[in-house]
Amino acid sequence: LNNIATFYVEFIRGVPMLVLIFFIALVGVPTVIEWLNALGFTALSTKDVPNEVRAVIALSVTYGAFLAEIFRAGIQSITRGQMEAARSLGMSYGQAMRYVILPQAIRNVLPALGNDFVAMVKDSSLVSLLAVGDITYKTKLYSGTSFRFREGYTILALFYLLMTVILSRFMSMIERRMSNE
Amino acid sequence: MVALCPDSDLLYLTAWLVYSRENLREAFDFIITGLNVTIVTSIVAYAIAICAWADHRDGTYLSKPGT
Repeated sequence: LNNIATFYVEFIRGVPMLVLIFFIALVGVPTVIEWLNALGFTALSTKDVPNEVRAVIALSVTYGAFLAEIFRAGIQSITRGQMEAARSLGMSYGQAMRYVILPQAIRNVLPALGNDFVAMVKDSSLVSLLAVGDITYKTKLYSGTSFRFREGYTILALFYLLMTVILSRFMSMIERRMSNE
Repeated sequence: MVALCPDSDLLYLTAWLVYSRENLREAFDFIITGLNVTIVTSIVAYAIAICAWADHRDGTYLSKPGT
């Protein structure tokens, strides 16, 4: 399992986001569907999986690798003595993780999680290349049909700016609240 | 940014914003129809991705005490 996880994280981190989105949506999803069909679990056609679902799968698989690294760093930032102390109090491994390690680790990784969410909202613009009707795709349509590129892309930039500013403020609020506890 | 811009540029920008306000509104009305897709895609994908916290690769920290 360790080797699979290592391969997954290293592969995802070493390949550009755009290539990964194309790879997962156009190669990964059809391949998995073929396997599932061959094993008799499903009788799906590749066309049965809409592009929106492929985009979600692609983004989540890609960002899963980055988040896994963040969580690993957060868990490892808690000293080993915490786990040993929890175990010596009679807690099981799961209880120690749930009540002792993770509450501290999550507080440590919260800023990084917020940054990654903002990054993913920005990277979600790449899924427009899969013809998913997000704001980038709508802007391409609008600009392409009206030839008003300046207006379209100005509005698009403002949309993304607004979303990232709101998210940053929201994450700062959560961080402040957790640091006060 | 405003402080760094020459006055002529700011004047041009203001004039452009006023001149093309109808076009900007039209662009806004069209583009906002894709906002729900962007938000839903991002939130759902992040919610799935966050489940990847269970990556205990090297196991050094999480090894059982005494081992």
